[in-house]
Amino acid sequence: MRFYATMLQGSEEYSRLGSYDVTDKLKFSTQLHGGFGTATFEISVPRLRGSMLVHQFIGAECYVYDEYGRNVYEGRVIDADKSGDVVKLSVSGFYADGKHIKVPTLLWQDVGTTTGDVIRDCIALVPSWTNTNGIYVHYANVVVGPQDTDEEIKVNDMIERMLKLGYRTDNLAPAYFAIYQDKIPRLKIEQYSSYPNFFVYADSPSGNASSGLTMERLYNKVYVLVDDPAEDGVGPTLFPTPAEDAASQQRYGVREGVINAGEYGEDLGLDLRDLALEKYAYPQQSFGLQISGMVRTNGGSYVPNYVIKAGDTLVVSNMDEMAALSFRSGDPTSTLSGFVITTQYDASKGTMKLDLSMGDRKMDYLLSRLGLEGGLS
Amino acid sequence: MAQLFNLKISDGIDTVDFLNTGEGCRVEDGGFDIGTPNTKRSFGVLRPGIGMQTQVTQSHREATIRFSVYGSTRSDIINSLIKVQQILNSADQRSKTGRGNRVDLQYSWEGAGKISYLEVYAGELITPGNVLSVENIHAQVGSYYVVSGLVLKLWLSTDAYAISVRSTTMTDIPLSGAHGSNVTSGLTVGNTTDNYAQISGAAIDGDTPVFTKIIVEPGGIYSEIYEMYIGLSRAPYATDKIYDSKNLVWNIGGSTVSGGYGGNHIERSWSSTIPYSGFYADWAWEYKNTVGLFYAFMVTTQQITPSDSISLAVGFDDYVTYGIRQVGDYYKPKGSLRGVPLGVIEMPPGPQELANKGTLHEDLWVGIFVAHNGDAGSLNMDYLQFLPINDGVRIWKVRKATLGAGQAVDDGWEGLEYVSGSGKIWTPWYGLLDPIKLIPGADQRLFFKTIGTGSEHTRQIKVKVKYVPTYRTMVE
Repeated sequence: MRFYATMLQGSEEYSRLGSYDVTDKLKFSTQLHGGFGTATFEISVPRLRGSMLVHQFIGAECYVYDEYGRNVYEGRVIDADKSGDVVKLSVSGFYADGKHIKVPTLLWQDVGTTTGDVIRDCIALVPSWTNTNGIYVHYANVVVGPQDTDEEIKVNDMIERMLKLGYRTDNLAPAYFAIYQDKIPRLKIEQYSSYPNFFVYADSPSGNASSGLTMERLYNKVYVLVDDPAEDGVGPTLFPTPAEDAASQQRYGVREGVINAGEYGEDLGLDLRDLALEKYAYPQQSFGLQISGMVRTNGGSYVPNYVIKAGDTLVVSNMDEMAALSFRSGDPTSTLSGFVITTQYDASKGTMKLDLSMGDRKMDYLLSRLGLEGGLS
Repeated sequence: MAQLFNLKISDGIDTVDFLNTGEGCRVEDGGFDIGTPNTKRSFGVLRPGIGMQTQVTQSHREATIRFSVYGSTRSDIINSLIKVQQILNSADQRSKTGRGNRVDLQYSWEGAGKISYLEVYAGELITPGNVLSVENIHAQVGSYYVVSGLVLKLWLSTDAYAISVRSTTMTDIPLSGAHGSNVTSGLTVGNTTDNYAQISGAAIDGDTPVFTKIIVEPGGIYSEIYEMYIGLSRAPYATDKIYDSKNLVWNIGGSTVSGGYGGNHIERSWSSTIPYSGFYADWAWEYKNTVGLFYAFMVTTQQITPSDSISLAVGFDDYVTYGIRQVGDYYKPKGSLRGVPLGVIEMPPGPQELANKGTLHEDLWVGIFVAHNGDAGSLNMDYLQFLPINDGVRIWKVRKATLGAGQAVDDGWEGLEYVSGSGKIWTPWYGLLDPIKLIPGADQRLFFKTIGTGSEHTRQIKVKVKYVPTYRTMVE
C-alpha cells in the first residue's frame, strides 16, 4: 500500500506544496483525547516543486491518503528539519490547535449548563475545527452549572475537565474527545455494544500481544466511611457491612480497602462502595498488540489495519490461553473486546500497534463528579 | 521489426554504443548483466493460517556492463570515457533536481521485435587501478589503443518501456462507452451511469501496469469543475452505482420536488435538529451487480446550507437484525459544491465469497449518517453515487475557481499535470495519489466523477487516453 501526503499552506487555491509519496518513512498515530496524534515522514528535496522552500511547510495543513483515497491522517506541520537532501516533517493532529485558544471568562453562567453545552461552545472557539456538534457531543448532559473560567484555561483543558465527569447522567461510560477527518470533533465513548468496529488477528497469539496485570490496587473487601450532613459535629463513621467478592478473595486472598464518601450520605456511600468493589476486585490490566495484516469490519469486509483509530472497539480473535485469561473488558459478556486508546502505524513495515483499555472507569467518573478524588486506601 | 543486438546509453545529447566494432566502447563477451528489480516486502496475517503481503516496494534494478575502449589515439579513448561520464552526470543532475535530460539504457537481443528502454537513475564508471599505467597506455590491439577491464554499473528503472524515456509519442487507446465506440478523438463521458470509458484488454500491450496519459476536455463547463475523481476497475463491472433519492426511504423526512437525476429529488430543511441518519435504500437485492471497492459521493441539487454546520458519512445498517452497522468517516460539504466525497466503502460489507453463496444481508440498508450543530439549514438530496475504484483511483483538485479552458492533461508518463489551450500552459489543478496505470491484457473501465457547481447529473466531459507499453521483463 502506498501513502501520499499533500500539504496546503493557507488557502487551498494558492497552495503549491504538492502531493508526495511518503510511504517509506511514514509513521502516524491516533490517541485519546486527541484523535489524530502525530505523524512523521520524509520528502527528498529534489521532489519539492517549483519555488517551494522548506520553511513554507511550517504550519501547513497536511493530509495523508492511502492509494485508494482513504484519508488516513490529517494535521498541521509543526517541525521541518532539512538534513542533506531530505526534509523530515513532523505533524500534529488538529486537536493541538485547541491548546492555544483561551476560554473567555463568564461564558457559562447558567445553573443548568451541561458538559455538552461547554464542549459545544469550546468547539466553536477553535477556528480550524469543524463547527458541527460532532458525533455524540450533544448527548453529553452532565449538569455542571456556572463555570468559573477566570483562570488562564485553554479550550483543550476545559474539554478534558468536562469529560472527567463521564459521558451522560444515565451512562457513566468514559468519553474522550477526538478530532478526526475533515477536522470534525466527536466524542468517543468507551462502551461495548453488539457493533464492534473491527475483528482483528494479532500477528501471533502471544508473540506480539502484551498484557500487564498488577495487584497493586486490588481490594476485594471494601468498607465505606459515611458522614450524615444532617448531624453537625459528628465525624464520618465506618458503615459496618463491607462489599465483598468471594471469588477474588479465594484467588488473591482477602484485601481490604476503605473509601471515604464524604458528606454525601449513606445511600450514595453504599453505591460508591459497590462500585469500588467492582472496579478493584481483580488485578488492574493493560493490553497491547501488534497486527500487520488486514482487519475485518463489523460488516465482514477486510480492510487495511491502519483504518483502526483510537476510540474504535475491536474483538481479538486469536488470543492464546494466557492472553485471553488476562483480557477482561468492561463488558463481561464479551471478554475479548477492547477499546482502542492509542494506535501507532509504521507504513514501512505495515504494522499497527494498539493499546487497549480494559478498565471500567465508572467509579473514577463518579468520584470526579462528587469532587472526591483519591479513591480507595 | 527485427532488431540487431543493441546496447546503448543516451541522454539525448550524447549516446554511447557498447557494440562498436571499430573505435569506441565494446562490451566484453558475456559482459552485460541485468538483475531483477530490487524488492522489499512485508507480510502479515489475513486470517489464522493465511498470510498476506502487506507492503511491497520496488525501487530499481541494477546492471553492469564490462567493456573495453578502443581508440585510434589515446585522446579518442579519453574522449569515449568522458562521454560515458557526461551521460552519467545527466542522470545525477536529473536525480538531484528533477530537471535536465533523462538518461536511458537501450537494449535488445538480436532478432527481438522491439528495443527495451530502461531509465538510468544513476551510474558509476569503475576503472581498473592501473588504467593510467605505462603498460595500459602503450597497449595496442591491431591499430587501436585499448583500455580493458572497465565496468559501468547502472541503477535502472524497475520496468522497461517500448519508447525512449525522453519520447512523448504515446499510443492512443480506443475508448467505448455510453456515448460512442472505439473513439480515440475524445469520448463523451457523463457524470452518472454514463460516467465510464471502457478499454479492451487487447488494446494494452505490456506485462505490468502501464503509464497512462489522460486528457480531459471540459468544453464550456471548465469553470464548473472543482474536483474530479477517476476510478479504475477491471471486468466484471459494477452496474448499480446510483441510488436515486426519489426511490428511497428518507428517514430524515422532506418532500419530493421536480429536478435532478431521474426527474425528482428530495428537499429537506430544518430549524434545529434532524435525525441522525437517513436516506436508506434496501440494497441487498442489487448486491450481485454492485461488488467491490467504491468511492462514495452524496450529490445535491443545490449547495448545502450552511455547509460548515453539517457533516455526513456513508454506511450500512440492518437495524440490529444481524448486528451489522458500518459507518464511514464523516466529511463536511465544501462551499458551493454539489457533490460531497464521503470516502471509501466496500460493497457488500462482507467477503465477496459470501455474496456468491446466496442473498447476503437481505435486510441491509445503505445510507447517509448526519451530524450537525443544530443551526437551521437545508439539504436538497439528489442521489448517492458509488465510483468503482477496485484497481486504482486518482483525484484532481482545482486550486482556483476554474479548471481552465482547454485540455486538462494528467500525464503519468512525464509526471506532469496541466491545462493546455491556445498554445499556452498553466497549472490550475493538482493530482492526489499516483496517476492511473492501466492493466495490460485486462478489459477495464475508467470511471469519472466530476464535482462542481451547475448541474451535477448532466455534466459531461470528453476523454482521451494514451499509454506507454511497459514490461517487467523485456519489451516485445
